[in-house]
Amino acid sequence: MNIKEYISSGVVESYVLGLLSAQERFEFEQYCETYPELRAARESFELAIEKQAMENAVAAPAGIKEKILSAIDQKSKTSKIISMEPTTPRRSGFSWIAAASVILFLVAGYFAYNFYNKNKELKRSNEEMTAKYNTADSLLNERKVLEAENVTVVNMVAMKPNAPSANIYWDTTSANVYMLVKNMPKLASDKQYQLWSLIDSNGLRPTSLGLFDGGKEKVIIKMNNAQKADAFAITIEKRGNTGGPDLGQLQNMGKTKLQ
Amino acid sequence: MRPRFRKICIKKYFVNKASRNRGCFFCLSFDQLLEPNTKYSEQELVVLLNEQNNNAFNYLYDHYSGALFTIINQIVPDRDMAGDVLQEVFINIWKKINTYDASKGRLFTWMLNIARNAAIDKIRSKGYRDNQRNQAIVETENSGMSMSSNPTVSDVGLKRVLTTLNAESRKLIDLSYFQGFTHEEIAKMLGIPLGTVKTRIRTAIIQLRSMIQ
Repeated sequence: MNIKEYISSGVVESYVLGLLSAQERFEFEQYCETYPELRAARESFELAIEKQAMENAVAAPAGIKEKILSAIDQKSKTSKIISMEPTTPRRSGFSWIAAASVILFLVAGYFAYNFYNKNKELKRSNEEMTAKYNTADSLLNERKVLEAENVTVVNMVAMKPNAPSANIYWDTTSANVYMLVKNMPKLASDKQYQLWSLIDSNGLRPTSLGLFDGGKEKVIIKMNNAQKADAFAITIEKRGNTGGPDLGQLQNMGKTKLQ
Repeated sequence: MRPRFRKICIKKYFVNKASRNRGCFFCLSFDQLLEPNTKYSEQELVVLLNEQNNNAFNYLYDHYSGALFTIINQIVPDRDMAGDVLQEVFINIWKKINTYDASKGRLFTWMLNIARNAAIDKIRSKGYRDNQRNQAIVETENSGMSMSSNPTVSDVGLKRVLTTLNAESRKLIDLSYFQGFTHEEIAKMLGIPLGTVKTRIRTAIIQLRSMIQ
């Protein structure tokens, strides 16, 4: 758009004098925001009109002002009653703020304490849940193991009257060994049970599958893997035994092959 | 004291640059306390009027009633009736001051248009026309398109400027500005195309401008 042409088209004067249609007026106001020179032209014509009107002003008939003032007064009286009410003194304003801030502080403190407790509780229950989940997860895993096809179940035959009662689940494919403990008498604190795999070639060759503590019932314990085993044996050894089995303390034994 | 407050004002005006019609309330009330007869700037006036300040209204009336009355009287020739319209106009200004938008024009322009519209509404009202007919004042010989003339005001203000225009331009300005007819209505009345009416009014207005400025 050529703004100069637009300005000199008479639109500025028409706008100021109120002679534009709504559409044209809207357009003009939009252009005013974009073109400062249009705005300047409008203002200069407005000032000219105003000056001209002021210079030619004829006094209005007397008495009109009073009529207007009394009409306005009645209107504003009704609307001003509320706003004219004495404002509360400053001090009370401050004590309000003080009271409000104390209350706010207390409320905030209460919430903080509450949240702290809740959080602690949640943490605890979360830990519980995790533990439960882990147990459940391992149980599921183990269940899978127990039900898998290549698992050999070895019933550990008691060799002593007070021997533990357990079954060995041996996955011959993955070599995983799980021990299902039905009952495992408590031992002296310096003693541990030890599981062995035995290979039958020129006498029994034992390999340790791990030490474990007594005093347990109905748990599944994952032992070390066994690639090859003809039999499993449980002995009682001194805690942390690194040597061979004390066959004099042989508690259970089970063969992997039914004969 | 005044300069100190001025400083605050300038700052506030700067902050409120986007909405120019707002000023600094604080210093206005101080100005008023110190000098009850202060001349207000337009911005200050608008702020105070928005606060329903009576002093500001007094000032507004004293300052602008003459100019607005002249405009009204040019449209409504009867002085008493024009006075009634003026009263109505000022009450409207008081009530509607919160709708005034400084970005769209000066306060006077806004008031001028309120006055002009109120006056045109008056001469178009049924009561007014009946009254005129009874008094047989209306000159209907020229199919109602004669200049609305009045001895006391016809030679002042815009109307005086108008007399320097040629007859056709004068008629068009009279019909559109002083009688408030739309371009469409004028085209119909005079039996000339709408485009021509628009062009001629614009031309007449440009002539007007050169005479006013």
